[in-house]
Amino acid sequence: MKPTVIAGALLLFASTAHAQIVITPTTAVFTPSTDDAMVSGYRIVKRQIGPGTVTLLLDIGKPAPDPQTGDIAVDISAAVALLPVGVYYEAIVQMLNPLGVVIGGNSPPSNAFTNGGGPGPPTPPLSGPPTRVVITGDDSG
Amino acid sequence: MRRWLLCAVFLFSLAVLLATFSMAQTSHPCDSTYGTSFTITATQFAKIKWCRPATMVIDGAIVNVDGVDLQPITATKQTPSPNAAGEVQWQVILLTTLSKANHTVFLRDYNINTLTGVRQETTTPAGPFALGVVDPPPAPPTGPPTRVNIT
Repeated sequence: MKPTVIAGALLLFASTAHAQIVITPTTAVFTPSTDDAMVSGYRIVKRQIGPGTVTLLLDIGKPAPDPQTGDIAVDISAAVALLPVGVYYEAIVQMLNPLGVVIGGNSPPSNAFTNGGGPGPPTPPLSGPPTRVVITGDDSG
Repeated sequence: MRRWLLCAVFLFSLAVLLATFSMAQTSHPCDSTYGTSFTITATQFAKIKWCRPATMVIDGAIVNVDGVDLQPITATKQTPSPNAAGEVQWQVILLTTLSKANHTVFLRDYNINTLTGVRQETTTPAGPFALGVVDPPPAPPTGPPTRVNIT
């Protein structure tokens, strides 16, 4: 049975996501194949939305599923950071046999995601005192 | 004759242009110098303005009155563009009236680190400033005297 990608989880940018588009996701979560015993590994590929070419995002081996949910969660932050900023993708999970050959077809695509370029540099602290200070009365009081 | 007329029109146009240009040159508040002693009335909020390089990120200020820090106040930028020295003016308004007395005021501005969420105050406050809070002037008469009798 095909694995199912159920989310591109995120921590920092959930509130700024456009609808289902996740900005700079950190985690991919998917439900493994029911034929997991026959699978030697999983591969996450990405497909640019629009042109649609499938390319490798990450070979993840065969992580153990979460004992409570049965899902597999993978940190994809490093792979996402290497993507060009502002290009939109969807992720697909593939199963591999011991020879590294894709077997059993693809999972349905994930929600869309993009590399937002990270949170940016920290705000530099202030130095020195404020200058040219003036105090006046405000009549709205 | 016609040449004189053209010359007069040209000079008049030049004068109008210069007058318009000089009117457009308003002074920037960060070009002014201010003292260290100020006075407001007991019915007014204290409005504090200061200047910082436009490159600095300013989110608010903490006003210290007589040794006590008031709650941080969000600052608003008062000048959309910097002066020649690259400074812009910021403002906070104390939304509480101060008691009628002479107060000592310090000002520390701060920004919020967008990465950590931590408030970063300037290590060097501005001040001390003397702030006198006085009675408001008596209200002027609002109408003419009535029932005037001359005997």
